[in-house]
Amino acid sequence: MSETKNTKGYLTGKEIRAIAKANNKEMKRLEAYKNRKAEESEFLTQMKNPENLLEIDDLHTFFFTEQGVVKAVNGVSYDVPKNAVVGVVGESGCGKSVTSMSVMRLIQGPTGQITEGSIRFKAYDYKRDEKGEPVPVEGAEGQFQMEEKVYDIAKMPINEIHRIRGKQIAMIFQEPMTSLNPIFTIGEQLDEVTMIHVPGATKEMAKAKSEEMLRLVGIIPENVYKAFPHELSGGMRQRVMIAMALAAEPRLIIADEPTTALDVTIQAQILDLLQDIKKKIDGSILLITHDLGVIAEMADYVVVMYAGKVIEKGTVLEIFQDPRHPYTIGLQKSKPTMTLDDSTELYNIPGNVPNPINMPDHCYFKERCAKCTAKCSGEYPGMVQVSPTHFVACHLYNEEKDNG
Amino acid sequence: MFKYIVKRIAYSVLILLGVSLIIYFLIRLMPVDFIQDKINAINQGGATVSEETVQAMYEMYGLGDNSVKGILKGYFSWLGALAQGDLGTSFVYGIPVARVITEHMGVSFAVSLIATVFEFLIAIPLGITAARHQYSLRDYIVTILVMIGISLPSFFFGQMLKDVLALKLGWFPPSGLVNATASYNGIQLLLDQMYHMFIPILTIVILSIGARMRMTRTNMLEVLNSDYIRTARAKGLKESVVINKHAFRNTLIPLVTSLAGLLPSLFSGAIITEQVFDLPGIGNIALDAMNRGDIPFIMGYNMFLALLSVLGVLLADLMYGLVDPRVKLE
Amino acid sequence: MEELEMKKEEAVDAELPLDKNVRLMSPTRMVVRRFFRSRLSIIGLIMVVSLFLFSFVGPLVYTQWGEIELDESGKTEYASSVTTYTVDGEEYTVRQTTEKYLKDNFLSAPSSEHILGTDNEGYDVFVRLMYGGRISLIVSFIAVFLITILGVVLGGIAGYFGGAIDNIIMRICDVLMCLPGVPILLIISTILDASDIDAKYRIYLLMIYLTFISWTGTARLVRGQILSLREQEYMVAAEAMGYSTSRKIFKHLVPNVMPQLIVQMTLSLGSMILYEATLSYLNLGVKAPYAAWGTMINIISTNQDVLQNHWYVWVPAGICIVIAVLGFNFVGDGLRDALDPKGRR
Repeated sequence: MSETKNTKGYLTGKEIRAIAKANNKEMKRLEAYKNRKAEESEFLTQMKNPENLLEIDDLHTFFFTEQGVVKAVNGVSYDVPKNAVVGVVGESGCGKSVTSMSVMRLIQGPTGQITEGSIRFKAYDYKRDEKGEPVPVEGAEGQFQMEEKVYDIAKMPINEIHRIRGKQIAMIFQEPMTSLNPIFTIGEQLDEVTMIHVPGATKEMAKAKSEEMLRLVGIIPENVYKAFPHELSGGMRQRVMIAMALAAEPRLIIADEPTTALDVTIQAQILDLLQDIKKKIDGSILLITHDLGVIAEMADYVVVMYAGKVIEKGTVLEIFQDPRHPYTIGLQKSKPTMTLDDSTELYNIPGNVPNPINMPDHCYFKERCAKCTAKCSGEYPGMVQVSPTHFVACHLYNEEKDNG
Repeated sequence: MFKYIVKRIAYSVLILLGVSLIIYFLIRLMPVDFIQDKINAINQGGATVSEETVQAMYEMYGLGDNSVKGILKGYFSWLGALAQGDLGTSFVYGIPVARVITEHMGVSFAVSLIATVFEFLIAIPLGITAARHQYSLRDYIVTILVMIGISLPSFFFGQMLKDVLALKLGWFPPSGLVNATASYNGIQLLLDQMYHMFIPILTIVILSIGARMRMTRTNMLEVLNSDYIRTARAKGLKESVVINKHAFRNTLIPLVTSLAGLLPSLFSGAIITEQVFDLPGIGNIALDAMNRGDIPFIMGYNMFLALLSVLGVLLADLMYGLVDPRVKLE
Repeated sequence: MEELEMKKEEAVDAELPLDKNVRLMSPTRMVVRRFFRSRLSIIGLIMVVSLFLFSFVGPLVYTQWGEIELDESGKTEYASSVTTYTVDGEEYTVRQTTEKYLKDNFLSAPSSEHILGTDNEGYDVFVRLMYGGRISLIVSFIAVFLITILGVVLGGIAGYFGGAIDNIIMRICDVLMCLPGVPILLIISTILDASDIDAKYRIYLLMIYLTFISWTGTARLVRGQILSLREQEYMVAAEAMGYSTSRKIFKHLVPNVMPQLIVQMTLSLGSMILYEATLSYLNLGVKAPYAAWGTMINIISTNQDVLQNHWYVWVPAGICIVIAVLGFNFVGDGLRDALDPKGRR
């Protein structure tokens, strides 16, 4: 029975039950791991490179669906250095957002789980005594001692994650229209950030901080502080989101397609604002987008992702002037430019992204690649270093290296 | 705001007119000799329906004149009486229907109010836990309980409780509102009444909890999947704050609105439960009136219920505007 | 050359990567699969199907008793009395047992003769359960069918044409929604009393009246769907393509409304069964001697002896109602989950 159905291309009931059984077991195990209680020492670690703020190392984030396991993030590694803007590009569904959500541990369980890898983050936090109370600076009222600690976010139990979220890493989302709670005022939602992250914060302190942040993002606080989200435009809401992200002075801001849902003119304003903020804050920005123009304008380093894997990474100059991976080259070619004359058609990469279930063993880009060779049917290519900062995952360069 | 309320009230009056039209149409479907039979039956049953009462009713409804003009005239004379709060005189009780209603409303209200309070107190936390642990064992148990709750017929479940708790175990009185053999007053009377109301309230709570729980669960699930909850988590709020402050306040909007809508219907009486436990509430009275052919009472009672539900819709609307900042009453 | 051939083939494959790499299911198959994956829907389906078999096939198989066939095998009741006389200072006690012979064998406990005993009249409870099921199921199916037709037609007209027509239909909905349910049926029942309807058909008439006030939910659902669909891009596209009205309705609107409609129909089957049972319990619906589940429970509202001592007369009927309503609710819920494209998990 299963044979005949398989030729038609359906999953059989037996297969579905097998998938469900395997999924449930795995989800149960990972949920238990996520909800466990653990000593701090269990998730403290060391950075590989002390110049980095964030090191994502061989991260795997899977979704356990009824059709099978979707390997949304499948062995991703990249670093965010201190005081740098790292841009992550790739088409929809390539896993760039899932990676950033994994860093914040916002993946919706029980279906979505981090299954492997580590996310090392160098936090700058209040020093706490055995009871968990912040240690004050002697002689200075309202000041507390700070210390640097490296957490492995992937190994943190979920009830400890509030140490990271908001305070160390803040996030700006794609949908400003729905990302603010409709029944609280802007002021209430902004104040909350200060109230939870600053020890001994009072309402007045929080309000002062919120107003400062609103001014920073170019909003006159008096107009907005008491307003409800629905009374603001999309651009204004995104500014509020940015103000909220900045309020606790995080070391890393993750901006997940911050301009996609906005009008073009507003997009430019928000990008200018982010540029401006980049100069003002002492931290890094992880910018996720599918817009190469935004990357070119903002980023110092670029990570190109395809189908859940990093296929090329390097400095912004390397990626834009010397792209190596056929996909990156294709991306560059498909970008409209002013110099293009009418006779040239805009290039497009043929084919589609492979379905994330049942990924092939070979290079995921093989079917769409114009330069593919016999070697491409072999195993997935490893990372090849082409310069101290430039890496690419493609057999073309493996050969180069083999040859000389 | 004020303009909106006036508009809504005017609209409600319009709906009430529509309802009254239907109810009047129904009474005109009743053959006159049938009404006479019923009156005779009541007279034989011991009560006396005075000729005046009957005449008054005929006049009020404009019965007997079946021409279009007569029907219209009857409708407007009935409507005029209604507008003055005159619902006619009950055949069985011999007093104005409005008075019968107000006299028996209290019991019904007490039972419904207590039941509703417990319903919300139990259903909301259960609904929230079910939503927070979707697809867990807890969720399944709650879902099955919900299903059983909305599938049990109230008369059957009420009788079962009565059989077990009152007749077999003897823990509670099986029916009535007061102990007929003792004469209590003050606090004692109140306690005795509460004692009598226990099983009826239990019945209503168990049967109504399911739907409310499901409503809470659905709402909570929707809220939990929303972007602003993700934002709240990303801010670094503890999960308990995310749930109890950000999610709960949003879940509360439809619940509070539905509570406002329920308020008027608390007076209408639970017909079946009151019948099963023989409580002298308005629902039981209405059922009795129907069986005995007390037509003015049934008509008055139906108009009363319609008024309550129109009020409920109105209240829910206004409440919605109050609790949800996105809704502007204009 | 050969390599080029291979390339071409692969290029074609790349155009259809989904078919090659993953096995997809047709939507219908997916719904069926999802439906049967939920244990509750299977249980619900079993409950409904077995009740159907019990009610419609049961009486054909189990023919020992009829619906209104009294067990006239008789019943002997014994009454004993003790009388004490004093004659000449001596006491005499006389024990007297009177044997009372009754024509009908009523309230007999479950036995091989009567699987669930007999009720207070002497009818076989088990057989009446089957006939009661027939009534309940038929009546609620008719009611739901009528409600759906009325609701779809009126809701469809309102949503499709909009404007004044929409306004009128929706205002009628508002009025009907403010009509009290059971109390209005009290009046209608009184009217039926007045017009000498055969006890057998009474419940049908009552349920037809009920449909006249119950179509509002369906109408609102259909209207809402149509209104939201009219805003969808593909409907605008259909408009731009110059498709005929009937094509728009049957190709685009109907398939979109169908899933929700089916769910609502299943769920309202459950509530109609409850309605029917309640009416019969209040002695407004099916009246004696005919059987309905509600009617079979009705006896305990006046006869406390039956309530306390003869559970087999009324408890089975209650259980049947619960099974029916629960079954339809489980199936409806399962369908809703299976049809919801956002889906569970």
